[in-house]
Amino acid sequence: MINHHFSEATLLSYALGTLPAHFDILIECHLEQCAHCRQLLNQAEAIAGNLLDDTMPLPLSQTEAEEKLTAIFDQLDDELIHRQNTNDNRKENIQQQSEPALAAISPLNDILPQRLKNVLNADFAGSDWQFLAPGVRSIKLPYTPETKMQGSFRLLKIAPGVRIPEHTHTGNELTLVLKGSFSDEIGRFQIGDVAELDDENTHQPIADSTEECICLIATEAPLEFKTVLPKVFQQFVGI
Amino acid sequence: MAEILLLQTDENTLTPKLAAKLLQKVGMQQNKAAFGRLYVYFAPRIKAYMFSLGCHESDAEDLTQKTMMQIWRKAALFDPCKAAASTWIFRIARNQRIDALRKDSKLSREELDFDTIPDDSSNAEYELDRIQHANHIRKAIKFLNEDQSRIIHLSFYEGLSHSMISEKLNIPLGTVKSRMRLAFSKLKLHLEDSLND
Repeated sequence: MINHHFSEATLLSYALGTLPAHFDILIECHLEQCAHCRQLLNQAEAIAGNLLDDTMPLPLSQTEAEEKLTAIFDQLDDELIHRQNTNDNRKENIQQQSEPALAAISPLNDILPQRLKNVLNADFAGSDWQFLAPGVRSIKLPYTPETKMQGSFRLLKIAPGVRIPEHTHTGNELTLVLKGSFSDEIGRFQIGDVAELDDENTHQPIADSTEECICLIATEAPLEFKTVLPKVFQQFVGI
Repeated sequence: MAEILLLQTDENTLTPKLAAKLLQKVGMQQNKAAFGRLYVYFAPRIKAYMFSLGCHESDAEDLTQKTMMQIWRKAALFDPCKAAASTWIFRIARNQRIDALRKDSKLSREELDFDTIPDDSSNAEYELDRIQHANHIRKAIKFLNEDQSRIIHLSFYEGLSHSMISEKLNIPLGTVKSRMRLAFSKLKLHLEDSLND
């Protein structure tokens, strides 16, 4: 049972395609499991569709329209011919597709959402958990930064009973629970739940069950820790 | 290609019902006249949308052509019970733009289809009915206050995420989020009202 969802603002931004890639991937991992957010997404996209309807159209003359339509049908015809010619080769190619990148890491393989597995490349298969602080480890995930904001995309593993020091965020942070659970000032977050935080919250999440807690986290900016000691770790590991 | 019967290109109205019918004709019969009608309505809007997001004119043109072609290719997948034509078309345009920006095909949303996930919620069908009849957002925008409509404008027409809006307007991220939430609620409310018309 999922209790914590994205804000409407995040889903609307996702619907409009205005979020960075790593946010999109995390959101899609949650959407796989959450009918509530999928419904909100449908509504957001319906609103976007209507905004498209209301967009002032650029001028299009009769001649231009006919030319462009002809160009479209010509290209579609070419594609059809090309497809027919290469159909025989297709069956062979399907069998040659490479194995999913994460077949090698069995413990993670079970908890990582399919969407995430699909976007990680083969380099990831060799990554180990990196020490961040006592009881806290992380794996940095590859992504392409599109904006000038420094962001990160990582898996975080918190040992039972361990608390992340008090910190806040510039910009957004999304956290998706993949295993175990954590609690913070807002509530308890379990598998499938998402925590959404921004520059107005500070929080001190604690892994609150007997299991380790593994989360997927996407941020737009480095975390800002409130105490000095974590800052030292921050410099070393670049979160 | 003489079989394309093109109505005058100042034929600028297309009701959601008609758009859905045309899309179905394209999907089921490969009807070029129906596609032509959709083209004259949507292509100039898609191009204006891409242009407003900051594309150069030639890129906007290119993305519009790509979007229209994709509409032709995928029309058979359009289900009028699941979304309005403009919603479905918007998704394709948005995905084309994302693909052009990101270049890594693994990041593409084109193959994602959350509609195929079975929905246990009993509200699902009623909800989708509402969406199908959504025709009144334009009136709904008038009910947004200035702050809210500014934010919708920046999100949709300028493609800014809520963090970018916060930076641009120099207001806290939390404020942007709550204005978006309110705008979203008001616009959804008018989606409901439209069923009574």
